Amino acid sequence: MEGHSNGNNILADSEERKIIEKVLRDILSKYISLEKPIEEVQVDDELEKIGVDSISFMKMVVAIELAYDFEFEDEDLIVDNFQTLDNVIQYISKRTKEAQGAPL
Amino acid sequence: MIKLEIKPVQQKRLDCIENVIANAAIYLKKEYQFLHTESWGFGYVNIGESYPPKMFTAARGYTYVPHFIAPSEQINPRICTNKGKAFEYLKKYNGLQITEQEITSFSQLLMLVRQETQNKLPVGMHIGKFNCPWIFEYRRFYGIHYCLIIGVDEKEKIFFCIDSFYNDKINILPFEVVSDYFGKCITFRCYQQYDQEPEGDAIIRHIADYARKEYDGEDMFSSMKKFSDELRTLASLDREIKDFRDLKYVPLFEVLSHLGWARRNAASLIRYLNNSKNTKMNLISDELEKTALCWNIIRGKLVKSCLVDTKRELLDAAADKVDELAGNENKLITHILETC
Repeated sequence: MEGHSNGNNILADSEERKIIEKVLRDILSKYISLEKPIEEVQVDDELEKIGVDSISFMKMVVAIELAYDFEFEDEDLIVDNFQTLDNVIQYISKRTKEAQGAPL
Repeated sequence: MIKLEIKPVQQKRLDCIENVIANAAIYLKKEYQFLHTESWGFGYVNIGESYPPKMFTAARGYTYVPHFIAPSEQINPRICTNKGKAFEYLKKYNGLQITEQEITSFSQLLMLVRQETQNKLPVGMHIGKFNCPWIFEYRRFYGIHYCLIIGVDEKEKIFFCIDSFYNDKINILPFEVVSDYFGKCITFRCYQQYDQEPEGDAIIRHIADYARKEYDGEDMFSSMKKFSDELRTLASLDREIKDFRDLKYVPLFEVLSHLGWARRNAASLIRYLNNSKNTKMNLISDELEKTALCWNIIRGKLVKSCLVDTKRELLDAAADKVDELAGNENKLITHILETC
């Protein structure tokens, strides 16, 4: 039963990741002037290389906060803390779980 | 026509004059880490306080008060990194001698550029951002800027310039733009490097001593307090951003970014000096990195305040962070001066 439950969690996590990635891609295409089309952006691309600088990062932060109803911590207001899109996805996932009180 | 083979190297951790020096140093095959011996600082004056003359005089010691500038209510021209020149350290430990020359006419400028470039040496030039045709975003107001002249075509009446602070191109500066030039130029010479190892503790003391240097009669911590007090009185940063299509060109955010970089650069110099992997010095550079992070957070909060409705809360939060940081920087400087 436990294994089955873990399997469900993994499935749920992967589903959740996909949803976060979709939301994030919408935010990127809407608010940031990217170096390449959003469809070509990979989750492990470096944010700086796809055109996310410290200012556009803040636009992204504000849009994420609105979409997910949490606030970035002070130390997370710095683009250098997020190398890739995947890092941002992980951060959103962690913060939304914290907000829901779920085990991390 | 003379055009030196200098490829622009852009480094976001450096401000405009540092980019000029770094590009010249790379071309001359010199290192330039001692440029950061006088990077840690902060300057701020209140509205109407000594502005504009002292503000422009204090910017790296250069005097240039454009006649059309009126006292500003905007924060931007009243805040600065208050960096020093550190030329003495560059000469002694990096073997790069930098000499300033006051230029009072275009013919003098042309003669200097001709003479230096013929000797395969570039010339650093102090110029108004307003006068740089390649910086479209800055053509609406005055700001002090530097570029590196790498060549001249007297037939076409143009200089070739590197401005790696803004782009990685060779830019064209028509003679007519600087026909009434007055300002300072810097020239470069390779110099016999001091043959002794730099004395780490003494240089760290100098870095900390420099940070305590007064700006317009105030120490760094009082200036930071003035800045935080003013942030608390503002409803928004609309005055700072109103002329800009893109927040990345807002000068206040540029200065805040360089306040962070200045501390990171000083921290990296301390790590460089720490050959013996001394724990005390590692701790100092780590603490200095933390202050850099704190400046980035302050900048982040202020940028964010321009994008959301809760502007007041963010301005207050940024002001609190500035106060906290002033306390931490004060403690760190005291610690350095007591232990080094």
